[in-house]
Amino acid sequence: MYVILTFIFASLSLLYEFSLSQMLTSLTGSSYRNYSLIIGLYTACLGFGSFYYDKYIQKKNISILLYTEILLSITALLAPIYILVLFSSYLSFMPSSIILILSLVPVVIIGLLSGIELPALIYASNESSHKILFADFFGMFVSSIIFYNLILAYYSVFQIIFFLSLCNTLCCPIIIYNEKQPLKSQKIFISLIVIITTITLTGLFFHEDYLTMAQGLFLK
Amino acid sequence: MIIHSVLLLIASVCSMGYELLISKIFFEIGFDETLSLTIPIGFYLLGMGIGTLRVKKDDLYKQLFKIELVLVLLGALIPFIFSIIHTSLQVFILKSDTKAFLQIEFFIFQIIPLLVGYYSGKELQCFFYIFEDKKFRGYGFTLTLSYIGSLAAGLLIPYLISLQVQPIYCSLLLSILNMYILTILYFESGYTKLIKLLSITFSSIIICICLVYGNPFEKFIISALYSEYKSPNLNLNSIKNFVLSTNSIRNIERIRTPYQVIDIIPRDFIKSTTGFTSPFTIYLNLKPQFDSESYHGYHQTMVVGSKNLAKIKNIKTALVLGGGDGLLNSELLKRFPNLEQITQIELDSKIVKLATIHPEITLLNNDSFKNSKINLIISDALTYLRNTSENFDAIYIDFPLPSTLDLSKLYTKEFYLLCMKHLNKNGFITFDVPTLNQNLNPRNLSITRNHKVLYATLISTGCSNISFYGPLESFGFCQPNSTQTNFDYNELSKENLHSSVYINMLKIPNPKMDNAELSKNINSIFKLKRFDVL
Repeated sequence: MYVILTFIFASLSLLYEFSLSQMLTSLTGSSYRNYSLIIGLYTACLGFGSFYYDKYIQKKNISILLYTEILLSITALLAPIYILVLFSSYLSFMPSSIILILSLVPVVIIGLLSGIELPALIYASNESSHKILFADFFGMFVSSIIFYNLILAYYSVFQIIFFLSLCNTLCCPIIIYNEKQPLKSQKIFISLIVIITTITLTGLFFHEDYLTMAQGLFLK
Repeated sequence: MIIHSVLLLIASVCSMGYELLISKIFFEIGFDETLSLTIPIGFYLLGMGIGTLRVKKDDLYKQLFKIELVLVLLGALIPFIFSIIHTSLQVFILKSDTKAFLQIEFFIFQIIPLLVGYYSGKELQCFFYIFEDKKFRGYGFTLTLSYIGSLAAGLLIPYLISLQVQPIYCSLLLSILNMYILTILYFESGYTKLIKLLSITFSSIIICICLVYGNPFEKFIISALYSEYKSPNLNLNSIKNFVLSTNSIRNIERIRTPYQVIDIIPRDFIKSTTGFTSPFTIYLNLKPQFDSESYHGYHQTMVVGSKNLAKIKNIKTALVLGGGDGLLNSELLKRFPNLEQITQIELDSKIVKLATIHPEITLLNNDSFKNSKINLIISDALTYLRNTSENFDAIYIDFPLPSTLDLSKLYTKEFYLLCMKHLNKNGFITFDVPTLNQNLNPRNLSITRNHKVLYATLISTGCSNISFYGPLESFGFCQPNSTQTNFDYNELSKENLHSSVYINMLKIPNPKMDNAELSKNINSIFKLKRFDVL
């Protein structure tokens, strides 16, 4: 099961990055520069995240995995609005290079959390690390294939982010269900899952209004 | 183990560097930019995944030596492999530029990032096992070094490209770094001395050959790309003819900027081989921007057409977005003698520099950038519009055609709304419509999907006077708070127009769309639409 979860999480993680990269390109121009910067920064943060897990945790810890997934969902939900507010409110009095650096904060957080996620999955699963690593790379492969042709061409950035965040959150109950022993903070996890699911479903339902609000913010 | 850590770091820079260069090369040989940026990384990562599964725990240094040798050769030869295969297909196999064939070719080419990924994955796993054997740090440390290397590559490659270093030489630089790892491994690997020496010598020779022939090779490939030479069959004789013919045509100059690739095609560049004359032409990202013969048609239609539809004789201030070639400025100065100022916003300073120093271009744009009425600002148009408090009588939008999703952001609802915010009373906006090969019959001018998207987008901004015109060079005209207008042909006849421009002064009827269709076709910065561009 963890192999499948790794595949899903890896796909979602790279799709977040592609979506944010696309949004930044729309707001700043130069896709090759943004793409290279985001992919480089994202992979570096993956490294720092896995280094953190390896150095300070280094054992099976389902709670850390769940917190990571929930934080990923929340970061992804907030990222587009954060970037938009940054570009709409601060661009007039802050140098655009500073704005660009600040707009990369969600990329760093998503990279770090995804970096923690991978060793957490390796330790949580009984499968060999090879299989988990392969599922991780394969998930990223699939997301890069589907992003341009099947996702970006048909859906708004907000629809994409809401959907990804929903998928991320809905994987958490599977992890909880798979554990034989009840988790320490199980009630907190379930409450958070319910809240985020409600937010993402509402977002998906009212995505047109969200788009109008974003346009208003952009034109402020 | 510190040396090994450094080696892993270098190896990671090279691996991700190759992947980024592959994306760049794909784009430079004519594939879609977003596709070139997203698909190869997927195949590269898939290759990495497979590679990590294919490492045995014994003879690690021997395996690593072999991997580095392959990566040195791949790195040196990647740009050559792509260019040779692509050109051969174009010249000898493909008889017409069908989109479907290009897509198939693109996916066949993914074998290269897959291979680079495969060997990079094996390399990473080898280092992991070496560190594990020596009980040096954990798995996280190996991953961290590898990922930091990727970040370095993400910064290094775009920087080198911005310094005008050709992808061929960027790739060779990475190949030399891989060669350094190979040389260090000489002392560790279990192969015989002879094999190791032969491997290092062979790869050094390959790198030297590529260094010497990189530049002429690139020039040859660019010439081949633009000469559109087609050979009926593939044999030694036809290859020889193709090489001789391509070598004898005039050199094409390529300038790489952080935003685009500019190709300068000299006059009659294929005359020596085919006898055909051809105009001086500028291509941006492999798409024709203007040529010395037909540039009149485009700019006269844009300026005179909008002037006529707006029913005005003069304007005092104009905003030009894009148009870094200076040709639009020249036409505006000519048609509006009372113009006090043209504010021009151009993202790419290099195209402006080219337009101010290149003798052919300055001849065409009448050295317009030296005119004191031009206020040039190097900036992103969106950023400028969001920050400026100035208003204008007219806004002329002369951007590259939206051949990619990135460029279609310049044809969005948000963009037009920002433009309208900066119009004076009775001000208007004119822009290029990405449509070619219209039906020339004035009774039956066809409405394309592009027109529908632009119409729906403009309607969503609340604009009331929307017109599309020009069967040859298509333009859009939009004037908020005004009623629908038509061409006044009496006024047009007073303008001193190039004969071809009169054919272009025909209105294309606005599409009839219901509310659902209108809402479905709005192009927004947050939900971009694709345009059909040849």
